[in-house]
Amino acid sequence: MKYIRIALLFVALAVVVGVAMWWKQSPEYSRVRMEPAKIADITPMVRLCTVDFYEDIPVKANIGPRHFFGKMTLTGSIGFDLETMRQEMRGDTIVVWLPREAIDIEESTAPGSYRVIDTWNERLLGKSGFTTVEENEIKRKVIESYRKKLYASGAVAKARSEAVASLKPMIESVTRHPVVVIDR
Amino acid sequence: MMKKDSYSILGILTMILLSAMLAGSCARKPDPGEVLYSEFRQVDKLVLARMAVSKMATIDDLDLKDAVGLKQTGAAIIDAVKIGDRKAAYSYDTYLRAYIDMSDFSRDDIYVDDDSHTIQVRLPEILTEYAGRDAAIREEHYRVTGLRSSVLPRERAEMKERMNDALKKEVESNPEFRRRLVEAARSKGVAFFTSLADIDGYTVIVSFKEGTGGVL
Repeated sequence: MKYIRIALLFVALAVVVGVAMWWKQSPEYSRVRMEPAKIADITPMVRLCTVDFYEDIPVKANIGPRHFFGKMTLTGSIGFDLETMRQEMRGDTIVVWLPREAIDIEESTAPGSYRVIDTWNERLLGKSGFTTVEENEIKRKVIESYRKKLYASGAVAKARSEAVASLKPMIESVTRHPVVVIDR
Repeated sequence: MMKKDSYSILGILTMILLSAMLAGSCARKPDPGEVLYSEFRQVDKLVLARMAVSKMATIDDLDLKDAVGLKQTGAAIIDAVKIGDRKAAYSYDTYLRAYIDMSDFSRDDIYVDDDSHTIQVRLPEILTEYAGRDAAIREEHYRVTGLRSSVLPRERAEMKERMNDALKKEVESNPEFRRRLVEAARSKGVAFFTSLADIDGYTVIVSFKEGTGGVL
């Protein structure tokens, strides 16, 4: 009887160890399936970028009693499309007008660039979720507010003055003519 | 008297110990990942091409017949007994750009031969980098029925993070992405500098320096 008990104990132990090993060695599961990356578009351009930025932004918003809090890392640049640059010859001098700035603001591709930290509802049993449309709208507002901040902080003005300073020697060296760059 | 003093000393020590424990539990060291980082950099980049790379992912229940191993089988059984369906598909674009660093460009990179009316422009090497990704995510499909939970922002954010990792691996392991981007940048650069330099009717020859090629 005693030997049977010991044998049963060993069998039970072997089963537990076997299941544990099987669990450990079995592949992880995921409900997310990826499609291969595809080139959607290639846009040739001639854009002089004079300021690059990278900034972590807290994302705070609410829709009625539902609240959203997260963190987003924005990245981008302030540039000038040189193909739309107006230019004319005045005697031997080339006069160019700096075009309007093009500001690209994107979410960074660095790891952890977008994190949802908390969503909650003020009402006791209210839903705390946000739809994709709502979440996209929250992000759009954050980006628009950041764009205004770039103007208010003087970053755009600085980018323009850097562009003027950079364009003059570049065009002069290629064209071998004196160049005047006009901002506005 | 002596006994009373020892009790009060013991009381004070207990208070100090409790205060130290409380202070220790309340004081929170800042997590380096929580610090908000900000950087503005003055650059002199001439961007010649931008590529949008699209990535799509789906959220769906695990199918029992496709499950491999104990974990997947367990998850597939749990999914099978849940009432309703939970299927969604999302996509977004990531942007790559090719540029030349104009701070590496000087008058020494231009050779003018007045006899043959030829100008040679030697531009800096074409570099590539990630320019960012769409902040918004496109919801291509969404069907959550029965008693299934909706797809929440945190789940979408985690999925986007995984899509980002996968996309970077694909782009960095497949030279075709970089090749097509650099090719577009090269032809744009040649066209732009040729039109800029041929003011006096000279023949313009544009070339690029060779290098490592940037982050991609």
